[in-house]
Amino acid sequence: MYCSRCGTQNEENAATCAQCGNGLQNFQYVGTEAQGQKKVPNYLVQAVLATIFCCLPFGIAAIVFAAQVNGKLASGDYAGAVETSRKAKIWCWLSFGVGIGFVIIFGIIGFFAGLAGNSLK
Amino acid sequence: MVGRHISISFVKQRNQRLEAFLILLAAIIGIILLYIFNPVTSSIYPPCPFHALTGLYCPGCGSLRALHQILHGDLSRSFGLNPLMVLSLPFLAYGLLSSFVDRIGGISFPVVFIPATCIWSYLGVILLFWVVRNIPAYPFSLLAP
Repeated sequence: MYCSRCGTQNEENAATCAQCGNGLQNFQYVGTEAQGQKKVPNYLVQAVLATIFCCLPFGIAAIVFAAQVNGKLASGDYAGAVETSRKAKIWCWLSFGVGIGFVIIFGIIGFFAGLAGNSLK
Repeated sequence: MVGRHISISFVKQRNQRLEAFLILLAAIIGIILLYIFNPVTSSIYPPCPFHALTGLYCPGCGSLRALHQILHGDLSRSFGLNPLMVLSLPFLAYGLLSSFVDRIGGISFPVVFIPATCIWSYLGVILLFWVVRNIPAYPFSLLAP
């Protein structure tokens, strides 16, 4: 396929021109994943990290949404995948936020417990 | 219009790079702390919120102790503390590493598309592990940290 802006020949299924970055409108979808459209992250790595290291059920919700993102991508529901990806992100952040909040509260309690322990000696 | 678009994406790229640097720095500090201080004897680590509130084990309980053992090369003891974490580690390491290399170095690793059924099965394993490791009888107690 030739780029309409600079005339460079590109691969048939390329989404953008390799030379000038211009969008190539006639690119075709290959396989189950739509190439050329922005990649839809499923946040599975973050969700698993949240589940294993934050010890909170929120991570489980994020894994559920991660599975739904890939399910929707496989069935070609791009808009649905983007929406669910957003939810996965929110639950990951919620999980990390509550986890960090707990660490801070634990730190403050530990600090004052240490102070009280020292003053008792 | 084109120039503006490029400058916006450039700023976004720089922010992503800074973000990746900060996360990488935090990860390195975490690994060093985990290598030096054993979570069994040290009080610098926070307790698991779920375990603190309920007294039950969560799927992540024992993962810091297990990481400490892995950093000291004891894979079998690590596996005994949290097999789920050890088995998930290659996936997590690949995901994190490829994200850092992509954001900092601009080189993208091949993205492996995981079918939804695999993620659902993995979720099932996590939930099953969560329940089973709390059963206080042999052989289920082997899965407790």
